[in-house]
Amino acid sequence: MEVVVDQFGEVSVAKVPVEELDASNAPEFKRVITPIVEKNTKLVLDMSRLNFVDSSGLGAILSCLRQLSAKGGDLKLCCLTRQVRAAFELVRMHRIFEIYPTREEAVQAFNGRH
Amino acid sequence: MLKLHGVMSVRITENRIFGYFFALGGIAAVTAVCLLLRRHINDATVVLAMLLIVLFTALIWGSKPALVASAIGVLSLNFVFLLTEGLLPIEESENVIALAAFLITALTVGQLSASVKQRAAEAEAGRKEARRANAYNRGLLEVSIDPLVTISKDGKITDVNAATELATGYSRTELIGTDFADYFTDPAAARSGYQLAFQEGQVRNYPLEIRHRDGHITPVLYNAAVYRDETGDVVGLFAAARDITERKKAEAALSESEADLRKAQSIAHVGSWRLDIPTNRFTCSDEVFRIFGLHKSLTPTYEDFLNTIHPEDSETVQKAWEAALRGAPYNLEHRIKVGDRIKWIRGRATVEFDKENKPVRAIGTVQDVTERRMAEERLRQSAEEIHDLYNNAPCGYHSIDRDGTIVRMNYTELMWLGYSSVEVIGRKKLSDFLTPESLKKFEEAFPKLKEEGFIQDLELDMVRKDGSILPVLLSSTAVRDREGNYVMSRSTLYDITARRRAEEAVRRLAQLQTVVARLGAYALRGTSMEEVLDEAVKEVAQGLGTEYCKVMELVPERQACLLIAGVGWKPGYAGNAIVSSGPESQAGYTLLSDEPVIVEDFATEKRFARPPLLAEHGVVAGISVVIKTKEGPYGVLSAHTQNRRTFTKDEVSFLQSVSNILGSTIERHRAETRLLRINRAHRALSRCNEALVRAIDEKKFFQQVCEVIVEEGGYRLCWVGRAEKDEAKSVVPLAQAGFEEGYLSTLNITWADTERGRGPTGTSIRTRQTVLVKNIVSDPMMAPWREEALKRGYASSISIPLLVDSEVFGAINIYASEPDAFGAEEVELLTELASDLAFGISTLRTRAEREKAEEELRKLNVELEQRVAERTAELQAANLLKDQHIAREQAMMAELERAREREAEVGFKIQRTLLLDQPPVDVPGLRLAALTIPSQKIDGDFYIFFKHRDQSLDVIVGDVMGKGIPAALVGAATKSCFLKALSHLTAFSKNGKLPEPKEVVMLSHAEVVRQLIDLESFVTLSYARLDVNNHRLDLVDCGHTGIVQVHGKSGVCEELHGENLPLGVREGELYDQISIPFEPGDLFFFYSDGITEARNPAGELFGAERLHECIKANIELGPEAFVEAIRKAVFDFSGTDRLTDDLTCVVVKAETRETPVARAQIEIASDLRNLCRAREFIGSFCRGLPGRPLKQESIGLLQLAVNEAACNIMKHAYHGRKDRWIYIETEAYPSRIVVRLYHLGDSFDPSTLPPPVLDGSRESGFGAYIISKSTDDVRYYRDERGLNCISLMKLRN
Repeated sequence: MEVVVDQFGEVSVAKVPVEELDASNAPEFKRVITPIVEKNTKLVLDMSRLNFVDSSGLGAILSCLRQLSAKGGDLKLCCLTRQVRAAFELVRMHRIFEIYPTREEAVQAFNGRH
Repeated sequence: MLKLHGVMSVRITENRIFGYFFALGGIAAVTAVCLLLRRHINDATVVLAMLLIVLFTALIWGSKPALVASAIGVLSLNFVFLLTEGLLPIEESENVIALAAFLITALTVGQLSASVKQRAAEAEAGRKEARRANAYNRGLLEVSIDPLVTISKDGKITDVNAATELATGYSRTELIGTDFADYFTDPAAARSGYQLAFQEGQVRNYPLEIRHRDGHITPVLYNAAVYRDETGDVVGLFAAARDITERKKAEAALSESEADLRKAQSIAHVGSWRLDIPTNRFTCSDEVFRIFGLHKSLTPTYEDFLNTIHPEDSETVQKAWEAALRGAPYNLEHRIKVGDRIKWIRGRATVEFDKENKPVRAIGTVQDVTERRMAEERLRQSAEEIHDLYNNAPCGYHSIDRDGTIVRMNYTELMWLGYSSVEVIGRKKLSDFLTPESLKKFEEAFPKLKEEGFIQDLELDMVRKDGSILPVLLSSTAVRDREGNYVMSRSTLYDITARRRAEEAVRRLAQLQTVVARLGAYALRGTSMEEVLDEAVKEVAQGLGTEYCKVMELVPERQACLLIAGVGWKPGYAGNAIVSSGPESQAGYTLLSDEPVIVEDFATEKRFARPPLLAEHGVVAGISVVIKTKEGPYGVLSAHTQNRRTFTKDEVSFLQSVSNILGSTIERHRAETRLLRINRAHRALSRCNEALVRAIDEKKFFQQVCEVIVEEGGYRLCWVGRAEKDEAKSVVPLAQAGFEEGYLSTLNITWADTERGRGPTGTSIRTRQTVLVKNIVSDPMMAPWREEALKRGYASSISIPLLVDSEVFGAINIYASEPDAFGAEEVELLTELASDLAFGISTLRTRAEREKAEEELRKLNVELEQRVAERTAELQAANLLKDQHIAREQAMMAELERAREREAEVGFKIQRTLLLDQPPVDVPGLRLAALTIPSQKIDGDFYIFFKHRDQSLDVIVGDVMGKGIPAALVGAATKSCFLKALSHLTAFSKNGKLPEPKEVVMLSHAEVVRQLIDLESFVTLSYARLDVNNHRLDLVDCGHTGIVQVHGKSGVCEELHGENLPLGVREGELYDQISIPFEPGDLFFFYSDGITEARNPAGELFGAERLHECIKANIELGPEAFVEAIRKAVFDFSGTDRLTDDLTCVVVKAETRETPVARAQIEIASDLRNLCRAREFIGSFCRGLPGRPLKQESIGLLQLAVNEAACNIMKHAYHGRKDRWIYIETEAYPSRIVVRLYHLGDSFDPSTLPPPVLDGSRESGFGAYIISKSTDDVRYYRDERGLNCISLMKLRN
């Protein structure tokens, strides 16, 4: 699993590299994303490839948010497919994450605020 | 009359003197006048004048003055007028004659005049007399008050008196001349009356009625007589009437008073009598006849009366009568016989005596006093009865005064307490009889009695004279004086010993049942057999309160029972002590009789002797039951004590229940052990096969095999011996593994037919047969080696010959540390193993030969390969066999599972004795929920759910009358009876048919009715069986509050009611069952009266109507939500969160049982990498469904849910193990999709999970939450196969 990170000024955009994020690969995702989270403070996760996420996947993404929040950074999500959005809504995570339809808007949100 | 005469004669005398004077004067006057007139007159004139005087005198005064006058006249004539010559100068003769005539005339006239005068006087006197008499008579007439009347012959009234005027109202003048008869009411009678008088001369007392002018009527009696004139002719009738109005009135009054007297006599039952003693003439009033029952018309005699006197009283009467005749007063009550009746009479009499003091007459009265005597008798009897009732009533009565001193106490209570009345009354206080605890209660209650006037149902313990305790129920009311001050109590006491005993029995039963339940649960927990037995003996000893308890295992080889678990026995006995299994010991006797054996006292026991074990421990009494298993009796469970005692029925059945639990636990353990061993053998077999494939060297191969057998098979020792073909036919050990400790070097075995060759190894080599030694301890075959074998802990062994190329190579010997360790399956497997081993030897040898002769090898290669191929085929066959074994193992597993299930069922039943069940969730076609909100007090509400295999479910909802511990105990007891009855009837039913609910009710009722009646309790109950296949509800309603059926289609609510009595009302009651059809969508609501009788603050009841409304309003909800809605409605209504009654209800919803339109299943290993397979499986199933396609969103959610469920199973149920499996089954119905995930890991209860934290602070713990949110229904349950299941349902719309 390899995560591609695009840099937009201060904002890094990491693309979730799998179509499905479940209990089987969530730990691996966590492992590969951690260095990226540690490196950055303003991170956007591009979820356009992802079309399934389960509770473990949600947990992994939540873990990113918490790590970033702990050091004063922030995590925003973009390009959620309908099914993934539904999963987020099911556990009301859409209230905790800032979710944007496009990468640009997510990046803009970071820039606009600062 | 005489006087009158006197007066008259005086008057006559006075007149005569005056006559004399007149005679003198008259003559003198005439002479004088004549002298004067001489010249003018002649002598004749003078004479005439003189004569006139004489006549006049004679006329008036009679003859004497007239004589005087005539004499004087003569003289005057002579001397004066006729000349005067001598004294008597009568010169002329003519003169003398004249003179004489003159004298004579004078005399005559005088005489005449006197006579006339006299006559006149007489006449006057007569007239006077007549007048006087007349006045007198009239006076008399008028004086008469009776109307008197005279009647002429023609009937006309001639005269009347004033009384007549008064009687008729007419005056006398009006009456006289009128017809007499006209004045009567009956003129004809009047007329014939006087006519009769005229004829007869008189009539007497002729009754007539006078009619007065004003109309009023006077009754009279007429007396009349004729009267006659001087000649005797009848002139008229004199009639006198007598006014008899007064008499009539008097008569009427008299007869009235006589009647009154008679009536009075008859009312008072008093008769009067009179006896004329000299003549014995007896007269009496009518009442006397009546009293004596004699007929007046038969003219009874005095003797007749005397004869009625009761024989027992006749002497008394006689004496009293004799005394009366001597002057004593007679006043006596005695009996008389009137027909068949006995009467009581009071006689009173006075005897009158004559001058000589002889009794002449007796007057007396007789009074009928039977009624009074009877009333007195009754009064006396009832007084006696009341006295008797008070004293001998089956309850105690007493009264205590202000100080509590006993002032009265009935015999019953005295008897209960063992005191005499003199010891108690006025001497003791009630408090003297109370235990300290009861005294406290009483001291609280006594002031209340004085103040409020009553106390009720106070439970007290009284102390008898002998010190024993008498439990009583006391109720008192206060007796007060007029001012309302307390005077004393009136108390009743009931002996409640029996009730206490019954309560105690039920309490004890429940205790015992709790022990059974605990033990059942303990046994199920999978603890070892030894632990279960140890726990059981402890529990039994505690439960029965005995010092000793033991489990004796039957050891048939030793014909003995071995004490394998016990409590109370001296150290070292458990595991060693032995008693005979013959009928001479209690254990043996129990085994033979196959029923509970109770010894109350060994001193009097005749059936068997007290074995040394018991004697040593001073055991006196005991009870024992057989522990049964399917394979026959396991042994005996018994409890013993050093004191003489009996055991109740409940205690016996308690011990039997424990023994049943032990029996089934033993069975389960045996099944498990067997399975374990088969597994072991099986593992050993497969590893041997592996070893064979890799084997190069014969010795190493044997060594490997031995190791495998010991390691995998868990046996104690395994060795392979080769049969040498030397002279000694010795058996040489080639390889061995396990606990040997020099055993093999001690063996010195041969396969020759000698003593040391007749051991198992030698025999198996010699006979080419497998030899099994089930128990080294007892098998004679093992005699030469027993000691060494036992020393090393070998208990059983198997020797299997190894046949290589139809030659006996040797034998493989396996030893186990347990006796009888080799079951049929194991023997088969091990034999198979031996055959593989032999094949291995053969293969190895072949290989060796090949090395020696390459050429031959080549030649043989083909053959060998062929053989290998054959053998491989055989191996495959063996593998097939293995699979079969696996299948068998699975079957065994399933059997074990069923055994567990049965056991679980038993445990389940037992645990449910404590009232409430959890409703089952996996009944197809039914969804259930139950609700129990306990009130402040424990109630006896209970319910039972019983799921049958054939798609039916029993729901039993009961409610025990009353509250508190007793009601709960009764509930528990009743419930256990139902479960017992149900399992009993199920076990004994033919063709596996379910017993009818009414049969279960009747059997249960028969069990509990006596106790319920004794406890004065009863149980209302609904027994409903829901048959899902036939859509029918069979209901036995025993007076329960209610069941509401709500028809899903119409929404109509219906109360279902049977007509049966509650349980515990009547022994032998028959219970009827009713059947009600239902349809999917219908709902049944079982509820206790806690719902309908909940009250709001205004005191109104919640009521059935409100309940129906509430049910209708929430009909669409699922069962859980539905009961919650009901709960909320009741609590909102009552406005409190503390209910006075338990609120229990059960809702059963019948669902549509749709046929699935599609079905699929998949099995995945418990590897997280397989989650995607699960998702794909769900996705493709959903997308490929016929009919309306499922929305992509719904598919996604279902996939998510299945993913989470599977993930949970892998992580938590299987704890991350990857080699387990999950079986996923999906079914699609027209309206919904159901996914079931089965697994054999740990079950988990989502309700124990903490709620998910959704604020982003947690990264896990969403699984269950996601599952519940993304599906429409989730259930976690364990199915009949023992598989844990998560069932997910998603509606297609």
